[in-house]
Amino acid sequence: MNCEEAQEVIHAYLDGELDPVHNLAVEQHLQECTACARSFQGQQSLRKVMAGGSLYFEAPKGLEQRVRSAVRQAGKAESPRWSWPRAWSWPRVLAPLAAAAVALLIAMPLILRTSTEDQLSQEIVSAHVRSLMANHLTDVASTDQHTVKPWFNGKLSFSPPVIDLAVQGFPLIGGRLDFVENHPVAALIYQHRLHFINLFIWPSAHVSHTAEESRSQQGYNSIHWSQGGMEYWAVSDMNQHDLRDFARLLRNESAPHSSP
Amino acid sequence: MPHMNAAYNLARWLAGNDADAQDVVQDAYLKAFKFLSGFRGGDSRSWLLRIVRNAFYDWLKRNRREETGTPFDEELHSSGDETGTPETLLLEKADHELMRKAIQGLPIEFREILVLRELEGFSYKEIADVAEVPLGTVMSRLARAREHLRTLVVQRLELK
Repeated sequence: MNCEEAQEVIHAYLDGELDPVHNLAVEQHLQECTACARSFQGQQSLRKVMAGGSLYFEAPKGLEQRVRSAVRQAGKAESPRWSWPRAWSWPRVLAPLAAAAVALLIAMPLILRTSTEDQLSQEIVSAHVRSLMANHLTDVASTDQHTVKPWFNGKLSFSPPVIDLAVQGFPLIGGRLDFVENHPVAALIYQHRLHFINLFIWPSAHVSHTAEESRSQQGYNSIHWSQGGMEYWAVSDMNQHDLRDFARLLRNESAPHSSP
Repeated sequence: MPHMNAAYNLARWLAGNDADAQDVVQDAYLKAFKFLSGFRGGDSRSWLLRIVRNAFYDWLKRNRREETGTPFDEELHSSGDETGTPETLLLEKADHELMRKAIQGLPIEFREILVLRELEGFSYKEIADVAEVPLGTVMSRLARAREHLRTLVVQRLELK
């Protein structure tokens, strides 16, 4: 990195907006170049002077009240067309509601945001698509469960159950390390005819045993359950029916074998 | 009312005085109320500040005021500073009043980005959303804003 390049990205570096590779390059350049290092220090001091909150203009006392009543007035002006039950004046009812609505709905994204389950299933589908697109389906390619299972040793803080379902038509083809919600998880890859199935496994936050729950997203089907202290998410482009079969087979096989 | 401080801070820095800033904030909340159905989720602070910013520019047009702030002068900021007092030491002597005047002296498109970044702590992405400019523009404007500010501050300090 030369000075010109460094000057271009030095502010992004200061703001922590650079990717790790550029970050490193800037750091190196700053160690080698005194002129750039000096201008960087100048920016750091400037920033220090700006921080601390003394430059921030807080809203004056009366403003909130003023805005509130302005919004209320606007609510009054707009609401008469709703005046259906004459008995109790709609404007009077709507005005406080209007003010409250602004307050509530501006704070709404926290509430409106899709449920965490939806987000998770979106993330699972993305991980599945990524594994297919990046040509990175497996870290360990093996149809032998006794090769795949030990491969995870030392890479994860848990040992995922690895079951081959070749006889039932879903041969195991390998394993991979993946990330879901920023945690390392085990990904097992199965094949069914021309379809691939990614099975993501990680330990449950709490001991649970839940029934399967299916979803469909962007043409991919996923199915989720927990069993034996583990969370399972299977995702594939194959149809929901086959995916259910797969999940059922897997659940049967991994259930502790109790003799009658 | 949510985000009242953020709304006022931005309006105050843009308008340059309290009375106009209050008008802008009131306008903005009325618009926010009207456009509530247009709110598609996401970060409500960015959404509201975008409305504040637009309300300010509307206000500016209505009042046909000449915008304060000196135009950016490339000559100014290319002044060599290889020798002399270490600039870091000099800069740290800047007090609030001086900083305030220096920031207020920046052209508006620099000021708004600087305020969002340094005072509101917005990421580049959020600034891009509020100012409705591409990410690259945020980066280059912020860089120029800071270089310009540094020059203004150093000049004022040296005059002292």
